[in-house]
Amino acid sequence: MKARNHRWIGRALCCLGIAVGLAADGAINASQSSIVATFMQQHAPVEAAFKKFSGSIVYDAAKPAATTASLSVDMNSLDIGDDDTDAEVRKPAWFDSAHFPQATFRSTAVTPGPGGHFAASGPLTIKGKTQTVTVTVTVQQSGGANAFEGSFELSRKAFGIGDPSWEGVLDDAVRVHFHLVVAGS
Amino acid sequence: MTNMASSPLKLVVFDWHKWIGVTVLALLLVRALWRLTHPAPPLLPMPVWQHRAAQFLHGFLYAMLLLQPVSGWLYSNASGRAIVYLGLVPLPNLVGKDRVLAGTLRELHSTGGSVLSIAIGLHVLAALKHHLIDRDDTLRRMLRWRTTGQEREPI
Repeated sequence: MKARNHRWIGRALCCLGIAVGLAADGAINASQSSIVATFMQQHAPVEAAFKKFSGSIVYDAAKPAATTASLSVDMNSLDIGDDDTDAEVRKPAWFDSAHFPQATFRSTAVTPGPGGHFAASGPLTIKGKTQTVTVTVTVQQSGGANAFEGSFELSRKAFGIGDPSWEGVLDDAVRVHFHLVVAGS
Repeated sequence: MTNMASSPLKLVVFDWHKWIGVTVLALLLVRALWRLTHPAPPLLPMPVWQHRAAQFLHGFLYAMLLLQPVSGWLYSNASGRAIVYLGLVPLPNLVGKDRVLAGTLRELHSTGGSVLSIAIGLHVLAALKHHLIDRDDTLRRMLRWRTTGQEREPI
């Protein structure tokens, strides 16, 4: 009985946390946003979309250097397009999503550039391995919402995604393109 | 092929499968042009049902030679795979990524493959029957200069 109560309290706190997260400034509206990784398989581009992710971008056009961004991506939500491949990439040799269900990024430095651009750098963690990435982000304002768009390239090897036997058929470089929409506060 | 375990070789095998299919499609177009400008030699005398069966099977083989590469191309695109012919020439995507459509096309392509295999088997058996049992010019008539003249002067 006691255990059950604890579970309910846990769930209530969890829901509260989600609610606070949603209400917090700069929450990413996932339904209007997209994160897509494009990899080259035998010279043919294949797009893989992450369907579930959450995070926030706190941005003030007047003080772009003060921008902070954090993002958490559900690795089990990866959709490549067919069930066999989706099941394959969740295995330990690839993303090992059972042990590493989340990939995360957190900005630690933001450098404003011209015309609504800024460069954000920070640690990107995938499959428990962390690399510092720098991403050029373009901001577009429309109807009180901000859309943050950009892309960067990462190395599969650096994150231990896929063993070396695949080198001949899969490029090491993977391009990640993101379009993240944050409602205006 | 479809039940191979996931491996780099499987990707290579699938790519070659697609490239061969695209090649067959291109050759079919050449063949169709040739056939339209060069009618086939007249059929040999044989029972009417055999004429009809032969004509039906020929038509069916042509239809499947078109359907199989096209359904494969569509299936590849629907499951998010563009085809880059020989790894050099990107071919246009005929449909967008669509999991439900991909499932249907997979069935169509797979069933089509089985049906086509049976049709090819029947075609080969019938041709061999004419050549080895009936001992007529059905096969030789494909090489006009090698016929024994039976098609013009039936016994």
